[in-house]
Amino acid sequence: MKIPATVKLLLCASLTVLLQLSAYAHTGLKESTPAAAATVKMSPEHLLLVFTEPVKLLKLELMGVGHEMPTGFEANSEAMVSYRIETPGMHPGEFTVNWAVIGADGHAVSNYFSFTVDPNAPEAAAAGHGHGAAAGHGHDAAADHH
Amino acid sequence: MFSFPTTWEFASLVCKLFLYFGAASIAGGSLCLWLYSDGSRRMVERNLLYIMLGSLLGFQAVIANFLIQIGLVNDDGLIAMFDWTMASLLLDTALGDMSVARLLGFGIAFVASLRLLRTTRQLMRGPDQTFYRLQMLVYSLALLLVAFSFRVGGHNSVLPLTSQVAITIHFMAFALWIGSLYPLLMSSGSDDLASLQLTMKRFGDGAIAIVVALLAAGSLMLWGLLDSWQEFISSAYGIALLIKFSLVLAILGVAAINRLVLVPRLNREANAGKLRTSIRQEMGLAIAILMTTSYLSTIIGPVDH
Repeated sequence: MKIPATVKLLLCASLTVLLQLSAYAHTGLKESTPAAAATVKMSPEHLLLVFTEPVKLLKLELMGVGHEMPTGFEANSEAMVSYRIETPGMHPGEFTVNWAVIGADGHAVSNYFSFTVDPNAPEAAAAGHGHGAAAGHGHDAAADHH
Repeated sequence: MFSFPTTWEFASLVCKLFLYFGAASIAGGSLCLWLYSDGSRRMVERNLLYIMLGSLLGFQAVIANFLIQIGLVNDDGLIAMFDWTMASLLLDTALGDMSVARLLGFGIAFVASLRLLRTTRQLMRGPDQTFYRLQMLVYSLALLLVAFSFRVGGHNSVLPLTSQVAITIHFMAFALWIGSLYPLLMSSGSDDLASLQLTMKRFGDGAIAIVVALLAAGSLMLWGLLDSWQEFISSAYGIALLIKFSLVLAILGVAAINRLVLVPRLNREANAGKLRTSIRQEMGLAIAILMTTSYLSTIIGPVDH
């Protein structure tokens, strides 16, 4: 089928502008303990994740440098705003939390945040609680937002 | 506000685009078969083939999108799309409900097209009224199932009932209009210009009602999705909506020229050629609108939803 040149031009222009528009995170992590990019002095016994709306937590991985840490995470079918996940056996070091959730609109979101456990950190640098999503990078593709 | 979509986002967007094409082929194909076909066996077969291929494309897009969501959640390469534990978890969410409704809709349309195509090929001449009534009934059911899926999941699914009804009407009106363009392009190759003119005039009259429903339902959806008019310029969602509005205005302009200028002059072959070019322009713009809508509904969302 032959498409006229003016329409092709419009198609290309629309596509170019659209691809420049960023993904807007729908369901997101409102805050976490420890917070994203935080340095804490004490090894946390649990992670606390608070989301912007009730979600089903599908995945949670706590990664140390080159290894995965044990957690009390179990996927369940109930949607909740906050999740408290036990983290036994934590030790000093850098950690990354990979999480994925799905909201009531069927929109899956995955993201991550990192924090550091450093018993020798100066008091001013150590802060354990705060907004978690900002420092993360994420995928926000999903089924439907219509 | 400015960044590039990820690979998973792109894949999800392409699936959404195919889903729209599939739904449009069911709606437009069956409408044209019922109201705007010349009744010849050849034209009926072409329409059924169009619906069959569209529903197959839609069916595959739904499965692919579900697998892509598993891959997105696991984020561990392509093989992570086939994690059956995650699949069973996702099936128990709005995404699972949506996917099942869409698979049922596209599945029904595909099987019905196969059966009707076989029946048509056994006929010596064009089908009778029972055939047309049956096809409208089956394809309406299939389209309703796909439209219903937007009430189960997506941004409007978490909004009040008005918005959920609006998305259903908006989706069906879009599918009827956009999906009719390809069958009309096929019809416009006819040598019988008087008959073609009548068909195009009848379609133009019907399209007015479809466009009014489309715009009214779209406005209602916006009312629910946006908190303020400022979001049109301050959010990625608003800017994408403005692009969509511009494209909608352009397609309405082309449709008006068709209806008011080209169709009344359809008494010479040269003018029929102009009409074909104009329908192609409409189809190109329709693809741009669908791409924008896929982007709006898959990758970006309104600020508070």
